[in-house]
Amino acid sequence: MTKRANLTSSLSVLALLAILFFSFVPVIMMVTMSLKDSILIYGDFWAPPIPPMWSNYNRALLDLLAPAARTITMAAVSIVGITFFSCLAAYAFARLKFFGKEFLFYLVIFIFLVPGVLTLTPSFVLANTLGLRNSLPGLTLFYIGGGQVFAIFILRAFFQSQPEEIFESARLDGASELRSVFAIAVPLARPILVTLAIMNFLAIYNDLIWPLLMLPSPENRTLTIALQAYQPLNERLPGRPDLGVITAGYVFASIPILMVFAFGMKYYIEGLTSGAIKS
Amino acid sequence: MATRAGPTRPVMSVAAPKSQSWAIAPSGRAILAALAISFVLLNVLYFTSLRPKANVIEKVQAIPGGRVLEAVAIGDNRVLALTSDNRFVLVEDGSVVAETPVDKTVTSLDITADSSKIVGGTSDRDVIIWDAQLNELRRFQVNGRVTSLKVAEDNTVVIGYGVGRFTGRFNVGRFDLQGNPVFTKRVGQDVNAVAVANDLSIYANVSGDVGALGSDGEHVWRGKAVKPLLQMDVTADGHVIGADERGMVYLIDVATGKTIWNQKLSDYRMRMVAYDALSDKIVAGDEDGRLFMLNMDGQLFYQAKASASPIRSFIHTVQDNLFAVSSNGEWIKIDLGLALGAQRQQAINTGWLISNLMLIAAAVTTLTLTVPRLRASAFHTARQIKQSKTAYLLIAPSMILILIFAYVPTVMGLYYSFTNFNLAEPIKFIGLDNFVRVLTKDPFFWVGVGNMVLLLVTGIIKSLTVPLLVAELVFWLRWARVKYWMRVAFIVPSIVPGVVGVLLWKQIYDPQIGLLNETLKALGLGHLTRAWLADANTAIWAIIFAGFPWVGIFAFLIYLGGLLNINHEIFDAAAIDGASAWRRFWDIDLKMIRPQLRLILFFTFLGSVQEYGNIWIMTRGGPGTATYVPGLQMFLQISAAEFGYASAIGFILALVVLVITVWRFRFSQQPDVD
Repeated sequence: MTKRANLTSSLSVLALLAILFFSFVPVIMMVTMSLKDSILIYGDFWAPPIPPMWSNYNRALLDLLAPAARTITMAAVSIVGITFFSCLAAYAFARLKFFGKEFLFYLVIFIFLVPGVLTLTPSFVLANTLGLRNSLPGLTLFYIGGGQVFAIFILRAFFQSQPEEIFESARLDGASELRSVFAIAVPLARPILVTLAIMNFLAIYNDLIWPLLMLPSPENRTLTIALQAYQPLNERLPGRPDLGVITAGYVFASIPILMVFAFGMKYYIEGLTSGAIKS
Repeated sequence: MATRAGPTRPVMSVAAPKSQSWAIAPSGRAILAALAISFVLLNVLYFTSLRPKANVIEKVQAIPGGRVLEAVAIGDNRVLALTSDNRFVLVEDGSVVAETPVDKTVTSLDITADSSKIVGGTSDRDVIIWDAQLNELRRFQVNGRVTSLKVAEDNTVVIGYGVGRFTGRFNVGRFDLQGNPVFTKRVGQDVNAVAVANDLSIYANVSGDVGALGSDGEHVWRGKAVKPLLQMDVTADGHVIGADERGMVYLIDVATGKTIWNQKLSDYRMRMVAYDALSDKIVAGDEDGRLFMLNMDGQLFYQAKASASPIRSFIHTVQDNLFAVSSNGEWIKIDLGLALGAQRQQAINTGWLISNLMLIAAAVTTLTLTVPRLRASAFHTARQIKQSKTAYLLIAPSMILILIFAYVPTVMGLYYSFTNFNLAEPIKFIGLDNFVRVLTKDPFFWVGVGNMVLLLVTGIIKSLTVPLLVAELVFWLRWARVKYWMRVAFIVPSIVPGVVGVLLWKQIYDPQIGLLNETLKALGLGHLTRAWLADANTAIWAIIFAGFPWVGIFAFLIYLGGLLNINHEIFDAAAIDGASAWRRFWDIDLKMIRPQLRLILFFTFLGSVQEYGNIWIMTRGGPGTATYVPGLQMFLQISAAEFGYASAIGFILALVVLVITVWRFRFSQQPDVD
């Protein structure tokens, strides 16, 4: 029995390894190409990256550092804005009684039903009208506004699951509601907050269509815009893209996400598998 | 503290005993109610029957076929119209009495002061003169195509003509009816309009110049309009009226060329401006079919949407009636007496409506304050709102953000989809035109829908198979350590940002140096290589295949979470019953993670309908339209500043998403294994 089970598990591992291999193909390709001289890529596609050509990275870093810094700053500010405001609102909706609460909460979740395709065009017009177009703070404001509904929805559910007694005793001790939010509710909600932050980071970091519309001028380019148009020149390769440098840029762009995962993977997996984000 | 009343808060003493509340002054309330009802009835009566209704604008489809390019009045009730299919049509009292074909394309038309002769200029250098019965009398030639002409009182004709377009080779000339020039003068770019005031010949051209030439052909004055004037006429005082392409009308002093006044009438370009000697008024018409009447001091006193097509020509006024011809051949008669009356009436109605609303508001307030029960609940509500201050402060930033960045665009989007909003013309409500165009006239849209359905079906298959298989395999691994590392390993490829993932697959498909073609060559299958994304037969399948083996990390973790949450006793019971792994998968696993499956299905659906960034990166929708999807089309329409049309596409996609969303939430609320 155990022997058979071991056999099944071993076969499972083999199958998983096979799938894993194919999943890694683009990553492997990216990393090997990024370490090769582009002339070598065109000359002998299958040649190993020996010796590794690190200068590809120097060049890519030089070109992409500014857009990457821009994107990360924007994402960080957006995430702070999203979580800060939504924590306050979610706490009120979860813990306080007030006039019009039901109605206002329906107002929040009703907008859930409105898909992004409907609001893309008018958001563009709105950004133009408000003078938020072609400005990074403008785009950030849109991200903060756009992230509210989902965050409030998730956080409210989490705050509601926290025991009322803690807050009651805090009130008896004379703590203000604002203190209750930041001293009790938020620290307890850390896993879900980190999950929210990661989800928002991934969404903002990977967003392409909206920044393309919002930021037409080159000095405001986000990383995704810069990457999809990245064509470094190389006088040794007339008329051909410098694949080594380009793929080095791709690797560089993956590092922030790698760091985010390394820091928050535990929470992220917990958040997704615990069923908090389900129906 | 939102939940507690503060100690200093005064307590309202309002609660009258319930039994008494209906006893207080019932007669007073009855009178109030009776007054209110009769007030409402009076209003209804007024708005339905007493309000005068009049047919202010009468229209007759007088000129069949072709568009009307120009029309002039001959006497009081005859109109000569020139159509775009080169016919002269003589209309009397709204019906055709004669028509003759013309052998040339007549671009401009005028009539002598005594209505005995008609002068037309052609695009073919000819100036033709007819008598009032449309018999040709003679023709002579000028040195270029005629763009505009006007007949003066002294039976000379001022003609703007020249060669080419935007060439600077345009002239204004004054000729007698035999074709002998009084003078000709080179005036620069294309002449839009000419006018004649006694011995001054006035012209306006496309570069915005306005000038007056004396009888010697030299400039008496010249000036510059803000926008090029399209139409001109001359008033009784000899001053010049001009109308430009931005809906502005000017009165220009004939002696100095200075603007006496200007007036913005419309967002559209003006198609007609004329002075009416009989009523001493200015009449103007715009591209949108609106007709305007102005006093000589520039005051607009009447405007109406007279036609669906541009007002081409103003004929004249007879007593209180105004006659005009629109470019789709409508003979329009406007009863000015009634029209002005109706305008006054409208002002009265507005006032009436406002006073009504104020009275109703006053009545409601009085009622609330006099009926104790209502008063009590009003005060109660007010107190509650006051007590909720903290809560309101907490939710205020989020609510404001949601209002501005979610609700405002939603409402705008709904509105825009029913308009022609773009940067080329003024915004206008056009009903369902966008939707009709998308659904019946736009071939790209349906190509896109076909691709979208294909992407949707394959997307569902992709997200329901491989991630589930991987989740199952990982879940049933016997070694905890291996299990943990497998989970981590599958997450690692997703550190590649989405855009980079798509770019990498684009690189894989590269025809020259792509991994796919290189692998095929290495395997000796060189004949299979192709430009995967540039070949209309393979492009959409290449996009679908990208991401192989499609271990979506989100789906994988959700499935795994679902499996982890299943109570282990169920598996133990199944094991004791001797169920095979296959049976267990179908009977337990699949059933227990049904909510997760539904969630992934839903997200896949949303993604397939709304995502097109990957397609934009890989193919931009090409080759041709092979990989178009409606979302991408919307994006391209936004880039082309066709906001109304883009909104309509968004609206249609949103409806599809909404239907599925509502269906899903109803479905998930059924008592289930949740």
